[in-house]
Amino acid sequence: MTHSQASASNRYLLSPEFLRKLEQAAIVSKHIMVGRTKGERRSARRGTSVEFADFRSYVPGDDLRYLDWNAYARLQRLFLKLFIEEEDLHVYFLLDTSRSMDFGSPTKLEWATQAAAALAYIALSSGDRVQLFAHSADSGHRSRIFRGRGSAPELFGWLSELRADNATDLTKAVRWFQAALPAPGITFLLSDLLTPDWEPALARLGAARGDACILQIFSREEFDPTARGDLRLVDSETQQAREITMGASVLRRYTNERDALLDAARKCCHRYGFSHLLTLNNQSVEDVILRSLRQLQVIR
Amino acid sequence: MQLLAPIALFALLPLAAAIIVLYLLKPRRRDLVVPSVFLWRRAVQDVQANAPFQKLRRNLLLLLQLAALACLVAGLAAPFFLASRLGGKSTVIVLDASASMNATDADGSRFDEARRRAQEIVRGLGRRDEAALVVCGARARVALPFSRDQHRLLRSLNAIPPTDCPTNIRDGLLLAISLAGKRPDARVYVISDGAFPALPEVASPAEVCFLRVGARNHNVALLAFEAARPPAAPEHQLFIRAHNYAPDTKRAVLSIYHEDDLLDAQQIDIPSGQDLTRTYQLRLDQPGLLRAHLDVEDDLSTDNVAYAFASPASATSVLLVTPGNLFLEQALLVLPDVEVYKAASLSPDDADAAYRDHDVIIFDRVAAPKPPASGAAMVIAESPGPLVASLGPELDAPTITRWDEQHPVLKYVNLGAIQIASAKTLSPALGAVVLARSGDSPLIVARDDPDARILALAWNFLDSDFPLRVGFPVLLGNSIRWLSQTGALAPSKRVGPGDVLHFSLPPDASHADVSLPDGRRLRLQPHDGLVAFTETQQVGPYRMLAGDRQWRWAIDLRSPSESNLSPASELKLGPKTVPAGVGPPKVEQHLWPLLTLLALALLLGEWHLYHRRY
Repeated sequence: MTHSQASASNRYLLSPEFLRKLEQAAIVSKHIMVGRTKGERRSARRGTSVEFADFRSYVPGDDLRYLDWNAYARLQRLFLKLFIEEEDLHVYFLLDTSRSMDFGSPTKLEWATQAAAALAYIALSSGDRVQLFAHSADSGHRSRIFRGRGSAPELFGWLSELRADNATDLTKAVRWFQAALPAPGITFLLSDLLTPDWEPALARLGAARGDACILQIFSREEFDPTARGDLRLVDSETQQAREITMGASVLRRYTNERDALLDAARKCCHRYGFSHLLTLNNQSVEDVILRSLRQLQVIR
Repeated sequence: MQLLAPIALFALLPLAAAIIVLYLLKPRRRDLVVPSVFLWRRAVQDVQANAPFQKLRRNLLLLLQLAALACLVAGLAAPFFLASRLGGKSTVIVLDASASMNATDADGSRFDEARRRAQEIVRGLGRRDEAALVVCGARARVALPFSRDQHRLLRSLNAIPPTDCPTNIRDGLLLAISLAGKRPDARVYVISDGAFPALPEVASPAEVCFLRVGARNHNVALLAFEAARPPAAPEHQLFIRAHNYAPDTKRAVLSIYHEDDLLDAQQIDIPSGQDLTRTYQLRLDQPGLLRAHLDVEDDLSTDNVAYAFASPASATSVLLVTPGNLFLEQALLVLPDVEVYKAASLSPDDADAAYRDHDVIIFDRVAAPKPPASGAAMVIAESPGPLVASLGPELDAPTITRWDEQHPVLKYVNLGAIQIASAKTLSPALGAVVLARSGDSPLIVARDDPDARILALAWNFLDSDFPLRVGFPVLLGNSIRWLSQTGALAPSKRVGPGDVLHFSLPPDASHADVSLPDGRRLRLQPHDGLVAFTETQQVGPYRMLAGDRQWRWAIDLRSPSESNLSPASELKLGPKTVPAGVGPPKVEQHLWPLLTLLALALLLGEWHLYHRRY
């Protein structure tokens, strides 16, 4: 599938200009992991690339093409030259599709799918393997493993069909996700983390091998509420109600709690070596992917 | 505290009930679906943890609202109280500083009480009000013109001393009215005990308020004390009159002193409202100051003392130098307490001795050989010497057209009808005073030096009908008395508080030192040899020294109007009668602006608390 075909079939997700910019980028993993097939990533394996890695002594059966004859001439011993093996990278996307993501304009879920599509397109363009997971409290969906730019339309189509439903159970989602992983890779978690069990979930994610980047998505109204007066707040997921008189004092306390949550999430990610980025639903996806994630050295 | 519209208070209960009902109603809340109440739950968690405090705070809001409502409703009821505040007035305070104000029936004295009332008025002045101070003693004076400076007014009030003088309230009121008259809406406060007569001639266009001080009339006073020695009598006669103004009989000890020697002391009972008189026959060897003192428990001590001078026991010695004048000799013989010596002439060598031996020398148609350096001389129809006057051209049948009736020599003497055949004009020297003149021609001239007095008459008594007239012995008696006072205890007459005294100092005296009854000393500087003494506000003996000359006088009150301490119930000013009050008239001080401000402050507090909460 050509680039024009991918953009035509998924014009609602990403614009052709954005896709062109994405083709120049690549996802950076902080860890070197073993891939499935030849790719463009450094692998833990020694292989056949042109980049020298190490020497080892010759043992019978080794490919004679990699013998270092110069060393043999000087030292009268046979050494085998080892080269960096370049393999593909597994890139996973875990999207929170609980009802709390169905807020804002665009909704947080719409923003998350756009961001996931953009990141997945980068991965596909780099020859990496991509697999998508969507999870709410009661349901989980996963895509097949996509590889190559030609699979982008299908991936975009899979993302477009995601709908917000049910409550959040992040720990359960991570457990389910980890059980389904074919190989270690880099995981992008797109969620608002507005659940009490966000920290155990991240801890579980951190316990496994692999790299992760947490995109915490808030709606603008959620980040900076503008409603005032006597209100009855209804939780979209649990339908729990809370009576509140929205005034300067309550808003100040809410802001403090919000900042405390964001700070705690940032510190938790740092602890596990994850990247963390807070994004708002009214921010440009292009700007977040190509600038903010680049600053975090998640994208290069 | 009074209310103008108390019916407004009935609105308090229903309005308060309405606020409470509204407060109890649960507010209708708007549903707002949020992604998650996860953060909200944590945000309001600490609020709920302090639930009792929150409840209290909610109640505090209710209490503040109810308090604001109470203030507003109270303001609607228009409460006010009567305050002494003057508000926008020009005020003249007339402070009575007379002797009766020294009565001690008030807290301190009446004057202290009056000063406190004046201070109250000054402190009650608004920032734009002004006040002036007028003090009434023997003379009225403006202690401070109109001023808005309260501190200055209070300082001036505190600096005003009480006096032992009678009240000159008439002048004080006229002064105050003239001050107030220039200002619209002015008010005159008279702070006094009212111990003064009615003032029918004083009419005030300004509002006059009479603030009375004093509560009772417990006073005994000495109203008369005279000492005289009848001619040829060896003893002095003393007359004393005391009066009891108190409502009950007063027992007192009446003591008589000559200088500091006690002559007599006796206990007397004076019935209420009655006089008590006493006469004494006392032999006094020396002239001096007599003092009568009443030792009695009353409210005013100023009038418990009186003074009199005992005249010298010896008679006045008069040397008549005359070729012969039957009328003059007979008239001198008739005069009481006068010893007459006669001579036909006096040589210059004998003159000094004669001036020293005789109190007065009368030169009748005989030229004085020399003027007296110390002593007194009366020169009739001859040259009195260049110190007094020189003789001028002769006048034919002059008529005396003008004479000084106030001079002691011419008191009670009518010179207008005297027929004179001829007289020689007197040209008075510098320092001499013309006492009578015919047209522009002086006929009687006097000179009063510190140690010498000379009287010159320009016509021969025998060439006129003057010896046949009633005025002749009177003039002669006046002249002998005036002339004989040189060098004696002068002035020996009684001096009233506040009187102004004039003295001629000796030429070599550069100043005069006066000892006051309270022990203070004043130094007076003469002008042209004369000093005027005005510090006569205290009762008691005074002494003045100038060079080698000494004067003594004593001041006592002897004023029935000041000694009668009955506080006046009203002040009569012309056609108006001003009732006595004990304080400044009250004005309505409304509280609604204060209450409204308080309600506003409470509502602001409630608003602030509400917004701090939410």
